[in-house]
Amino acid sequence: MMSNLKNIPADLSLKTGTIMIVILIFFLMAGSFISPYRPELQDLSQTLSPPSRGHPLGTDFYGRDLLTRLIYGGRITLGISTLATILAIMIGSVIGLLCGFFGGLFDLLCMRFIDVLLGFPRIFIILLIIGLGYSSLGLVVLVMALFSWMEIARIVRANVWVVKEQLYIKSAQALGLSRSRVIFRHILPNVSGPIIVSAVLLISSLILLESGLSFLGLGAQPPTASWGTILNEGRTDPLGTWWISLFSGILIIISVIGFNLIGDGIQNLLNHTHPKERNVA
Amino acid sequence: MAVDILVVKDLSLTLNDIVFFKDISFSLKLGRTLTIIGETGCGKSLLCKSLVGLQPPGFKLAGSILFYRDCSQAVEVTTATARTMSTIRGSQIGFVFQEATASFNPLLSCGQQILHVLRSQNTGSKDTLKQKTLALLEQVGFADAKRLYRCYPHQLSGGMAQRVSLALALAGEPQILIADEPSYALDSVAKKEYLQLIKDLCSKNNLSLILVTHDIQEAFSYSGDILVLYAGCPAEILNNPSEKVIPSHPYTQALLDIAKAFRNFKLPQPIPGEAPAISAPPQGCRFHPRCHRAQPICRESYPEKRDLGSNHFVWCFFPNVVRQQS
Amino acid sequence: MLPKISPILEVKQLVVSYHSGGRNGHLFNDTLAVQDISFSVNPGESLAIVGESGSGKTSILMAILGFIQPAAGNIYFMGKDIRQLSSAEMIELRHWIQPVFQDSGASLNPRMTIGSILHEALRVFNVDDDRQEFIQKLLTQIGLEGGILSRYSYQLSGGQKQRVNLARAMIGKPKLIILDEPFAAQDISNQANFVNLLLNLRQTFALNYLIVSHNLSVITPLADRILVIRSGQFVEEGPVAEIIFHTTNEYTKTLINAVS
Repeated sequence: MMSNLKNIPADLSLKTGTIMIVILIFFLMAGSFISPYRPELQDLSQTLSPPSRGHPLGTDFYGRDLLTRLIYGGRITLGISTLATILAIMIGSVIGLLCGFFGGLFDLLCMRFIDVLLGFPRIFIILLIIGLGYSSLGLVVLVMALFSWMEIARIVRANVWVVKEQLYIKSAQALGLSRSRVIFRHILPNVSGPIIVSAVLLISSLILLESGLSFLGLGAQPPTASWGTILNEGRTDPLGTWWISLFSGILIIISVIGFNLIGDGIQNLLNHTHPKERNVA
Repeated sequence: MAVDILVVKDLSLTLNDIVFFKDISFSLKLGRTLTIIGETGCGKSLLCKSLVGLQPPGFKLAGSILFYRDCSQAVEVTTATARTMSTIRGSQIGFVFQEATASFNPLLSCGQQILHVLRSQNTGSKDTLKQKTLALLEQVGFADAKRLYRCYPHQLSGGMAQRVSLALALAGEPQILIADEPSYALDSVAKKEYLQLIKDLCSKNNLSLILVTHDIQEAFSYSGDILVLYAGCPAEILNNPSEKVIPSHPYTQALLDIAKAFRNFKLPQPIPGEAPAISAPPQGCRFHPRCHRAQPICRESYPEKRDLGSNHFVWCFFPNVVRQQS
Repeated sequence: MLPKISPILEVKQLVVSYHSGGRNGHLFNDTLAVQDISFSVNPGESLAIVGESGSGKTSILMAILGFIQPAAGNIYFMGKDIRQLSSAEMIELRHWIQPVFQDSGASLNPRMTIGSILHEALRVFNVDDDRQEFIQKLLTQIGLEGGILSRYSYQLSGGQKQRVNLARAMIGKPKLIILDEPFAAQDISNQANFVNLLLNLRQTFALNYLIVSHNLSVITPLADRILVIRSGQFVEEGPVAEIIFHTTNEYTKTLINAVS
């Protein structure tokens, strides 16, 4: 595991990313200690005030402290992104495993089905859902997961394709192991690397997706806020109320970069530890 | 009087406390062959790579490797700059790897790979270089060189790939050819043909050859020097061995006995035990745990080099100095 | 109840072909890897299939193990036609015929310890004896130390990996062990060790081997009969001594000369 760039250690991405996310999570969890306010607490005498000693990050339209709102909003954002990722990973991995292992007609049908799904205009679906009027966080999680599992399925399937031809899988089959045992006990652990990498990268892209959804109105509904909704609030007067979009934007960027670095770092780790099994991700 | 082209003295390779090989000294003359024999893991591949400065980064190479470029100017490989080494590798010292297909660019056809090498060494019009490429392919035994020119690495069988690999190594018109277990992946028939090919090409072009193998029979079929390595240490150096020259080191003798049994389709007598891990070699003579002649001194001290005359050296406290050949 | 002299494995007129992407307007070219090969392995006997690379030896093995569907021919294992079996029956049959593949490292799951690999085999075969003891005994017979159970495959030497594969194959006390080029990646001293080991195990456990190799000299001490093939076609077959010392076939002579 020697790095070619002489002075940069190979796992710098992983370390930096992990530090960033750990600090972020700590910041989000320690909310009540950092800020004395509650996120819904309105102070109409202080609406739209820029950062000051009382409100280090300023206030929003209703005089609510921005720092507090960002802390609680972050929990929502990361929470729903993580949940949606877990759901997408579960669906995508199972489909990918089965398609990759069995191949044939089943695989053909699934892949064409995925192609069709990927071809659907997402905006259209989102607007349709918004138009139905019903909106909840659970729905957001579901929508995000349903948009994301296809990519995971493709990646898992590609890796399963490679792994299933390996001799140790053939040996397991020759032993007389049942197919489900071969798939879940032998193939799955050996494609777990790319799955983890995809999961981490998915969290970061879902954080961005969430902001986009909030922008369109399908997201956390007031008074609950996520970073996306807060970002959205600053839209009417971006220069005048610069602190609203700026700070929420910065937090989004930090978390996206952090997760991306972790994903990269794990990817590097995988490629260096098992150079003979090149992972496709 | 043959001229020295590569002189190695007291070469050793270490990483922290692990010694990968040590005490290596030999001199290779122009047009001659040196065969290095040893088991898997004895350090012979690392030795080959170190000879051209390709030892893994971080490893410490001590001793001296003098390469007499064009038989005159001496280059000390251990201290040469990367730039000097890159002019030597490929053009003056050619390398054939164990697994040919792994050393090819899968996106280039065989002809293009060779052309690539030629272009970096020579100037010349595209046509002359193409003719040279075809000539090289013919030299390594392809009757239909034009077809081979267009083939891609994945279309080649093992034997064909090894031959293309040889053509690549010869493209730079080297003075020394280092072949690291080149017939490893080949079956017995292809192996024999391939080794004969290397022999013929080297004698035709007056190339010096360093051949690494674990097959002692192969080694004895070449005339030249033989260096027997065990667990990173030299066991014996023989010169022009034949049925008459009797090896002195018990390890060499055991290998020869095994080879002889196999050649006669009999069950061979195995050498007891296993080769030691390079990280935990035995004290004293590294072969002593498996040697039927071992005495307490073999366990306590490392045997020094003994000169048995006519370029025959052995590292053993109780070498076979005289033995009747039946 | 099987009749007394029924062979363990019987292969009749096996044909294995591969589709390859075509050129010149032919969409699929069928390459015949194996053409019309027949042989059998009787109880108490070991057979060696010898030929150069690309002679179809591996395709024969893969067909016997059920990983490739042959284009034609029949394969009978313990009297049962394997092409007629359902997948459940095939799984059951697999217990009796175990492979030891050429690439010993690639045959071991890199994410499992050697111990868990061997325990899994024990579980599949429902071995009744106390598991730990059984594994220890087996490892001693094969020449591996007990500490190996907690290691991973990348921590083992080539020889050790091969022995682990052999141990796994032997756990279920199979009727036939198939060895695919077991000597190809070894230097002669390891070859000598392994030949002697295989011979001892065969005598101790009354094993039957089907060995595939390109090297006639190494398999001679192990085999009772030799089948020589070339480019997927039958060349000759007979008892070891006859083939090695009294053959009249030119091709077999080339193979013999290559190693002597």
